[in-house]
Amino acid sequence: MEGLASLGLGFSALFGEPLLLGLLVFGVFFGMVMGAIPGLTATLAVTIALPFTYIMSANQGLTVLVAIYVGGIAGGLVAAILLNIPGSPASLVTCFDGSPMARNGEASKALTLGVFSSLIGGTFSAVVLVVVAPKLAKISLMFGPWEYFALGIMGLCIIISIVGKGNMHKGLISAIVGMIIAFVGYDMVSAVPRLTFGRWELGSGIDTLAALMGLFAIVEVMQQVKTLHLKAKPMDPGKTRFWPKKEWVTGKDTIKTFSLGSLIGTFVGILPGIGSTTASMFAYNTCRSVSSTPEKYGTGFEDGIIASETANNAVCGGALIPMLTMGIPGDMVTAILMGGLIMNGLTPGPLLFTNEPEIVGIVFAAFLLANFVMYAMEMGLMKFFIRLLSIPMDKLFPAIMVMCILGTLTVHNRLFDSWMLVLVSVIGYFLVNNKFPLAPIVLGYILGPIIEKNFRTGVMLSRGSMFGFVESLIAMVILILAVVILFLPTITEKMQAKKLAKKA
Amino acid sequence: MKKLLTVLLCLAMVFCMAACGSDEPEEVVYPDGTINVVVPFAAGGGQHVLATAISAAVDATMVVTNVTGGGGSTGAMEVLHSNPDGYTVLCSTLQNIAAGAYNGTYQEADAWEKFVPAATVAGDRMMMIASKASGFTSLEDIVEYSKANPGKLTVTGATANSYTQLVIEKFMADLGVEWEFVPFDGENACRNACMGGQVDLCIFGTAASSTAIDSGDCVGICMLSAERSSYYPEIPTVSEVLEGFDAYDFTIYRCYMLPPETDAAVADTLGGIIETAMSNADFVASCESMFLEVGFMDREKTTEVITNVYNECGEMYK
Repeated sequence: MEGLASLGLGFSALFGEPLLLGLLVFGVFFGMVMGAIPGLTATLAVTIALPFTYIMSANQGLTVLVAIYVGGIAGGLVAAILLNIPGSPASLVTCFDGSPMARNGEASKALTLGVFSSLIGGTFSAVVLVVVAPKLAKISLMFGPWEYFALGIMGLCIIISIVGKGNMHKGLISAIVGMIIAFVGYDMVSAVPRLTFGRWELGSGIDTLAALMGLFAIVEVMQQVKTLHLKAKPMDPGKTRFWPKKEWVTGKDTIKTFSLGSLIGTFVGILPGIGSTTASMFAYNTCRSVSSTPEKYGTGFEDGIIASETANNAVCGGALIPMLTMGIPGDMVTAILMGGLIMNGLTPGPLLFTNEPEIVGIVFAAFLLANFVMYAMEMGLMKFFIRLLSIPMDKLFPAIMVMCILGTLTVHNRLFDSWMLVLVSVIGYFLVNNKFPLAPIVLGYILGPIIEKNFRTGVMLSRGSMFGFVESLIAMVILILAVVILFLPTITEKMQAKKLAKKA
Repeated sequence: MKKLLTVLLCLAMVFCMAACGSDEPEEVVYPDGTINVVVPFAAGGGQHVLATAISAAVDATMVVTNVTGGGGSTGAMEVLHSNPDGYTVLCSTLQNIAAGAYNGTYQEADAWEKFVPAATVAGDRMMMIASKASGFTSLEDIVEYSKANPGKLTVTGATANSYTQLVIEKFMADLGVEWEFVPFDGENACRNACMGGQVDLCIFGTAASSTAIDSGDCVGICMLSAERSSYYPEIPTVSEVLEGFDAYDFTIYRCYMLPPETDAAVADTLGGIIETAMSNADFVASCESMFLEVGFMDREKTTEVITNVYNECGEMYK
C-alpha cells in the first residue's frame, strides 16, 4: 500500500502548488492538440516540451510531461472518427468503427463514447499503477524472446480475422508488404543491412510514423480528394453529449469490452516495445472474438471504438509501471519521461519508491488527474475540435499533408523520412485502389520484426532448437490463446447455425 | 503615391546600410550562434541526458537533437557530411565511432579519423553482471563452470556487431571459455533479458548494470576497467581476480566530435567551453545519477584514445 501513501503525497503536493495544476491543465491541452493533428504525435509533444522542463523543478517537469502524454494519446480519436484519419498512430484502430459510425450519422455518439472509453482505460491503468505497480513490474521481466514471439504470432492471427473470408489472399499479401517495409535497415540479430540499396539513410529502416501516417493519413487524403468535388459539405456531428447515455455503456457486451480493453491495454503497456497501436489491435480483436455480435465490428459498432480507445489509453499507465519501478521504459514516451527524471538527478528503480515517495506520488497523482482533466477538456472543447476539422476539405487536406511531413521531419531531424512517407503512401495508394486492405500492412509492419527478432534470439537461447517455446509456460498459453481466438468466431458461428437449424 | 515613395525610400536606405555593413572586415567570433549538438541515440537515453546537461551548463547556446538509427551511425554520418563551421557537433561515444570502421555500420570506414575531436567528457566503465537465476556470484565460479561446460552459458550486452560484442568475444578468448553470445535490441533489452534470467551473463556499462544490480535481479561480478567503479567499490576489477588481465581497461567514452576539416582552433575553443561547463554542479549530479565517471580529455588526448580504441578493435576483429 506504499503506492496509496505516495498518491496521497502526490495529491497534496499537486494541490499545494497552484502552478502544478496549471501546468497539468496546459499539458493535457497541448498534448491533446498535438494528438488531434494527424502527423503530430504524443512522442513529439513530449519531446518538444522536454527542454522546457529543464528549467522547472522535478515536480513541475514530471507533471507537465505526464499530462502531455495522457492528452496526446487521447487526442487522436477526433480525426479518426470524423475524417477516417488517425490523429496519432495510437488511434488507428478507432478509424475501423469510428468512421463508419460518423458516416451513419452517429458522429456525436462515437465521439462521446471514444472520449469516455479513453477515460475508463486511463483511469483503470492509473488504479493498477498505484495499487500494484511494484508487484506487476516483474511481469515485464518474465517476457523473454519466446514469449514475445508467441505474442507476435497471436497478433498475426488477428490479420486473418480482420480481413475476413472474401479477401483472404489480398489480406495476406498486404501483411507481407508490411513485413517487407519493416525489414528495411540493419537486422537486429546479425546487423546485416537489408533492402537498403546501398543508402546509409535507410540503415535505420522506414520509421513507424512515416509508415503509419503514409498508409493511413496520406492515402486517405488522396482517396478523399478524388471525391472532393462531390461533397463540399463538411461533416457536422451535431451536439455532443458530455456524458454518454446510460444505455450506451451498460450493455453486457459493452461492459465486457470496457474491461477487456482496459486489461489488455494495461498489460501490453507493461511490456516494453509493443506500443499502443498494437495494444488497441489486440483489444479490438479479442473483444470481437468474445462478442456475441462479431459481425458488427468494422461496420460502425460502438464496441469497436470502446475496445480501441480503452486499450490505447490504458497503455500509458501500464508503460509507467516498469519505468518507475525498474527503470525500464515501456514505450518511447516513457523513455523520454525517464530522461526527465534522470535530468533531475533521480534514478528510476526500486529505490525511487522508498527514497522519493513524493516524486512517485506526483507521477501517480498527475496521471490520475490528467485523465479527468482530459475528459472534461476534450468534451468541453469538442466544438472547437470539430470546427478545426470542418474547415473545407480543400484547405484541410493540404494542411494535414504538411503536418504529416513536418511530423516525419522531426523523427530523425532529416528530410529523408518525409520522402519515405511519400513513398509508402504511393505504395499504399496503389494497394488500396487494387482492393488490398491496409490494416494487415500495419500488423505485418509491427509484428514481422517482433516475430523474426525474437524467434532468432529464442533459437540462439535454446541452443539451436526451433521449438524452445514449448519449455515456456507463458509462451504456450499465449499460443493456445491465439489458436482459440482464431477459431472461436468460426466455432460460435457454426454452433449458432446448428441452434437455428434445430429451432427450424 | 506618397506612401509608395516612402516605402521605396526606406527600402533603398536599408539596402545601402546592408551594403555598408558588408564592407567591414569580418571578425571570426566563435561561438556566435546556436550550436547544434547531434546525439545519435534515442531521446531520454544516457547520451541525450549527458548532452543536455552539458548544453544547460555551457556558456553558449547549444541545442540537442536526436538523430537515431543505424546503431548510432545515422547521426554520425549526418555530422560527418555537414558544414565544418563548428555549429554542428556530434555527441557520441569513441567506441561507437571506432568500432564503426569495422562493423560496417559506418558507410565510410575512415570516418573515425576524419572527425575532429573537441572533447571527451565522461566514461562509463564496463562490467560483467550475472543473473540471480544463474546462481553465480564470482568470476572464478563462472570460469570453472564454463570450462567444464563449454557453450552452456549465454551472454549478452548489446546488439550484434557492436563494440560491446567485440569486448565480450575478446574476454571469452582471453578467459579460454566459450559462451553463447545472444544479441538483443539495445542495452535496455539486454539488461531485461539478464534480469529476467533468460540470459546468464551480461557485459556492458555501469549505468546499464546499476538498475539490474539495485533491483536485486542481477549480481555484479567484475569490472572490465583498470579501476573499480566509484559507484560500486565492492566489485573487484578483473585483474584483481585473475592473472594476465592487467591491460584490461574497457571504458565507453562520451565525446564531442566536429565534422572533418573543422579548424583546430574552433575545436579547442569548443573543448574549452565544454571543460568549463563540466565543473557545473548540476552536470556532475546528472553524471552521478547515470553512474558515469567525469573526466575531461582535450582534442589531442581524445585523438590518442580513439586511435587506441581503433587499433584495439582491429586486433579484436582478427
